[in-house]
Amino acid sequence: MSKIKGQNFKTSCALVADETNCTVTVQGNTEDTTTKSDTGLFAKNTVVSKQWSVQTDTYQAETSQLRAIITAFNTAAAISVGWTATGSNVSRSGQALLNDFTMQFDDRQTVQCQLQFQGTGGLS
Amino acid sequence: MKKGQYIRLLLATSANPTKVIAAAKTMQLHGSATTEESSTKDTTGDDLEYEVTGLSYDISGSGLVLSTDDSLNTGANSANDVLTMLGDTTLYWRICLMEGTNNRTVVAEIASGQAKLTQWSAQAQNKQNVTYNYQLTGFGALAVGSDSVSSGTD
Repeated sequence: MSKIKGQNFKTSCALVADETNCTVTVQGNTEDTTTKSDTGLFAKNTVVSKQWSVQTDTYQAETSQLRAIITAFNTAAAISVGWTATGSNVSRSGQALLNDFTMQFDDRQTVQCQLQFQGTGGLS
Repeated sequence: MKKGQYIRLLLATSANPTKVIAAAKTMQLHGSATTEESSTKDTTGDDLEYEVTGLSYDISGSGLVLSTDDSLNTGANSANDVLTMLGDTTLYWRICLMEGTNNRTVVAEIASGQAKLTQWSAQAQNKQNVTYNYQLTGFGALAVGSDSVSSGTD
């Protein structure tokens, strides 16, 4: 069995550089389709829609990278976001909105940014 | 990699601020977009679509409370200066890359805008330096900075 380490699971988009951590969430929204014909107490959940999001922590070294994040936020347009796991067949990409960012400037510490993307539309 | 001490908040009640926060320890710029699920019956498939319906941002940070001003703090807003800004006064801010003595000279501007100071708190613990936290809530647009900026040294 071959395991994938965190350093080999990477998100990618125009805004991410020197990523340290990332989380990819794909969610199926369910609806209980139980009817009066069903017996028992158990629900019959059906996936009626899907959504996805990506959160990533990165080091940002240059002012140009910080400005690019703010520009993307102001533009409020979808950008291409994807992820891939090196040496495996796990990879997806799609269009996403930058819906949250945090730039952390702490004394003696490297500037770090946390970006959160909300997928819009499907993954391929 | 740039360290946080070279990125500073400049704050004033008039445009083009030149004074940093004295004895600053941390600073954070946070932006948030409100999104709305925008799929319609025209949308095929099960994947939800979203669009941005609003933008907001805030700035927060902390600094040391100093007993007196000294030469190190020339060109800086003390804790007392920041506290007097609390209220509905429109504040002008810039986040800049700084260099030089005490990191007081602007090299490049990263972002700028207007904001209201909406929170100030002081923490005093026995035997430790007294610190304060502040929060600015953005007022209007978050402007992207440029390399062509005025000096930050008073």
